[in-house]
Amino acid sequence: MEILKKIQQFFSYWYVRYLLVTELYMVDTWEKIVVHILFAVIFTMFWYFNYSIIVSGIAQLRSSTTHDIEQIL
Amino acid sequence: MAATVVNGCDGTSEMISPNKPQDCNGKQGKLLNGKVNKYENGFVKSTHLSNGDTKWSSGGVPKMDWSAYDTFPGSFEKCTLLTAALTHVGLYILMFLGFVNQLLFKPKVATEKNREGYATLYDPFETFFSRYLYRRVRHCFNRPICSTPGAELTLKERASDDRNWSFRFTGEERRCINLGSYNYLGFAEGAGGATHAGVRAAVRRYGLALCSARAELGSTPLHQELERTTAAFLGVEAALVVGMGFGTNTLGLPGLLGAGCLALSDANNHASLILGLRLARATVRVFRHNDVRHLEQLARAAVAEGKWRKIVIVVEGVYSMEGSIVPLAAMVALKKRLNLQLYLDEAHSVGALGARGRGVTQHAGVAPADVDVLMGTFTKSFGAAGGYIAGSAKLINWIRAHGHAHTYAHSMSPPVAQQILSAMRLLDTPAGQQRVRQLKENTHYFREQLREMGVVTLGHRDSPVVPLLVYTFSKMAATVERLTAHGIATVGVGFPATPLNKARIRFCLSASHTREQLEQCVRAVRGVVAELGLAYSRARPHKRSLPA
Ligand SMILES: Cc1ncc(COP(=O)(O)O)c(C=O)c1O
Repeated sequence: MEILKKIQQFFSYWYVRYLLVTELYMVDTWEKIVVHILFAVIFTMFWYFNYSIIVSGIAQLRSSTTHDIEQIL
Repeated sequence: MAATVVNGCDGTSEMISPNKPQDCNGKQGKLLNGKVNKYENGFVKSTHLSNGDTKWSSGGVPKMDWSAYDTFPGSFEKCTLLTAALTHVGLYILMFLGFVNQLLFKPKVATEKNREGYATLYDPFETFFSRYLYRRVRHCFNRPICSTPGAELTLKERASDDRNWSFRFTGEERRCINLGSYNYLGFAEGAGGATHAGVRAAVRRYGLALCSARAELGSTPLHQELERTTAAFLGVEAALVVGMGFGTNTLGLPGLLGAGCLALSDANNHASLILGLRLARATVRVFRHNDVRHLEQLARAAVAEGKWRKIVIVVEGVYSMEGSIVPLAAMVALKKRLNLQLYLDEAHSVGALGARGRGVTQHAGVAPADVDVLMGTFTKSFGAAGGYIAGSAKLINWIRAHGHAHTYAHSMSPPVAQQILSAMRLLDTPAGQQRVRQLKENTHYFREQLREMGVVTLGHRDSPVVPLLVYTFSKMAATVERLTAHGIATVGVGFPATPLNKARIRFCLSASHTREQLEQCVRAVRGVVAELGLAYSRARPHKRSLPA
């Protein structure tokens, strides 16, 4: 129980900090939700972009260099 | 007066020289022949040669050596890039949401119809700002109180059912420690206060109003006594009192300056000074806040132009949004060297600064007569209303005739005059001196405690106005809400009184706060700082702690 309460406190503390930094603290609930969704969409797209393009690109680069090295050896 | 008379051209008589151009040309000529001539020569030469600077110092008035003066105006810690960026992103989100709101819901407010071909009535940005940014935090402003604003006050609680478009009273009241009023010396006491008996007698004798201007049937012995006492208090020849502090500036400045005068005005000057300068039709050039080097640059350029009837530096003693103190000794030195004049607004500093409460002149160790016009208000330290202008007798006579307040505005209410008189007299007794010391002690204690919390406070160590930077509107609102819940009434300030991204909480200390009250405040503030993450300062390492 103690642990659960701690965790809950931790989350509510950082949720308030997030609201304050993004100025969402003082807006209506529906506006909060709109911005949460916007943020969620943007960050998911970033994540997906990084995952699909950047990470796989780097993986390709790395595999090609290992291939080269293998050939040299 | 000594300093200005030495030059052979009395500074104050220059200040109050009649606004007729011929006369003034004559004076200006004399001034140039007498003192500034050499300077002009230096300037002319320097324009021909590229190495103007050396020529300048050989031929003209030498530049000021600022290292000899205390030009430290107070600390102004810059925020990190991250804080600045986040603040702007937050503002952007707010504006965006406001825009969406405006698109979706038509607010029930006045709209302009059938006005093709006319100028718009409302400024679009201002209406947008007040509807979608200001409204959301409106519960933190204009809060009604129902008691004297002493060390404690009673807030009348409000609630809103329509997201702050309108408020209703809940019928509840909340007793709070007052960290918002400008009650520096604690003279706002109400019944049982130190000035109570005198004020009561004045009401009995004169009533509340005189229904007349000073120049007509509005002068009582009380007013004359007050003017004499004020002049003696400040250490100058004469003083003039006005029923309203704001009006003292806006009505006094047009009496002193006119077209063809140049005002060098501090960037953070109060609205009353700005309005007064505009009404005076004086040309205004603004120098960066408390920046004597910038001021010198502007002043030298203005003198070199040689076309100004008078050049006046307009500054305040303590700046109420920054908590900074003017570097007065440096300004007086500059003014003397370049033969300028100085208008000093002591609204927040008189009574609150200096070993004996004489204001920023005493704090900076400057002779009061070296400042051409001393202006101040009685609304803060003296717990009354109105303002004064003090200086040489000649100056005061001139303002009596040419400033509009003495002739056209209602004279100061007699009980108010009595309150100021009693407070001013009390200030020179041991009990009064104790108040001045107490204020200083409280200020140092509170500022020191805030500094240890790692928050960004602005201003000078001795200034009883302590702004705490919180940057965003949300943090300002959250801080004010939480402090109110802890029983502390403070004021949050945001745009338009400050830059859009520099919202702050302003604490005003008072001699009437006890140490226990301040400790309670410090405890509450510490809790809020930890909860909301306000410890922005990097000046000193500190622990960021989660709330227990
Ligand atoms: C520098 C300055 N001048 C003038 C005034 C106006 O004084 P009053 O409030 O007495 O009208 C103020 C008030 O806050 C002020 O800060």
